[in-house]
Amino acid sequence: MVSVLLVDDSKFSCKRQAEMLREVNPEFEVEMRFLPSEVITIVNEDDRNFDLIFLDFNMPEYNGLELAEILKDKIPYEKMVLITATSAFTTKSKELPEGMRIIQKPLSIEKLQATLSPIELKRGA
Amino acid sequence: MALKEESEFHLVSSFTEGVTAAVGNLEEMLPCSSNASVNIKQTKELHSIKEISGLCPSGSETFALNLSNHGQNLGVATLIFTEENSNNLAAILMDIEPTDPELQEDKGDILCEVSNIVLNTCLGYLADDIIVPLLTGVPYSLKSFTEVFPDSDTIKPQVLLSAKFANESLAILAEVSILLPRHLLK
Repeated sequence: MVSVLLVDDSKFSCKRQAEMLREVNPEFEVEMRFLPSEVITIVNEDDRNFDLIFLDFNMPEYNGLELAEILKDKIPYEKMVLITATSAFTTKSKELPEGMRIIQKPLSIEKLQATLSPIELKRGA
Repeated sequence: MALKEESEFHLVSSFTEGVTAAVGNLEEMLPCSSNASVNIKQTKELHSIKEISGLCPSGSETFALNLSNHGQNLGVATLIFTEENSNNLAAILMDIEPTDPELQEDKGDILCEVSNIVLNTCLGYLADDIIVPLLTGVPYSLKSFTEVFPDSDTIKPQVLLSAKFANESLAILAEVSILLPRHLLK
């Protein structure tokens, strides 16, 4: 199995995105969290590790980039994917840390297939 | 001082592209195929909180993103529905009937997320018309524009961009309104 953490403050969005992730790779074991503070607890305090983390950008408490910075000592940027509707990235007024990937909302199977590596997609094949 | 004709033309053109792309993104989220029409209104300058408050007719439901730069609130983007239309859209996305009691529990979350996607898509197209980058906040249900402009006596002139989009077959009608401070437009 591939452990995947999906963080989005919209429960509706989280559920839809989790379904798509399971569709692109049936081996994805998706855990959903709705608040950055919950993620900080399970990663930095409970020492949980994940093969992939999907982070929404616009969230209360911390935005997705701030959360990524807090988690980066435990989980490298290469395992992080930012999911965002925010125009700051399309306009280049915000930059991603090296290694981190980005997907524009609304998420789709096609966008996931184009963003995840062949290895991440093949694990479930 | 009003916007120059050339600037206004560019702004409206960017907004038109943005709304069209945003409606396309919304349609990607729907479980069925749809074909919405977009009707762009002209730009307009608003000078007081009274004029701005008139953007949300009574009985409407408004979802908003605040626009800021270095923590200062400079404008707002809103998606406005009638209650019936917001119920229809949420029900379609949840794949339930608009009368289902479950709808009211999740409707706010769903429409905030729809607003997040629709409004951020529009704003991405306006970036070249604004002299500073604007960061969007977390989407929320807006009750009054005094939440956005608490110091209403000293409000700077705002340029209003608005458009309606409609999907008759799905009974969805909504209005996108974006308020940008005039002094930050090119």
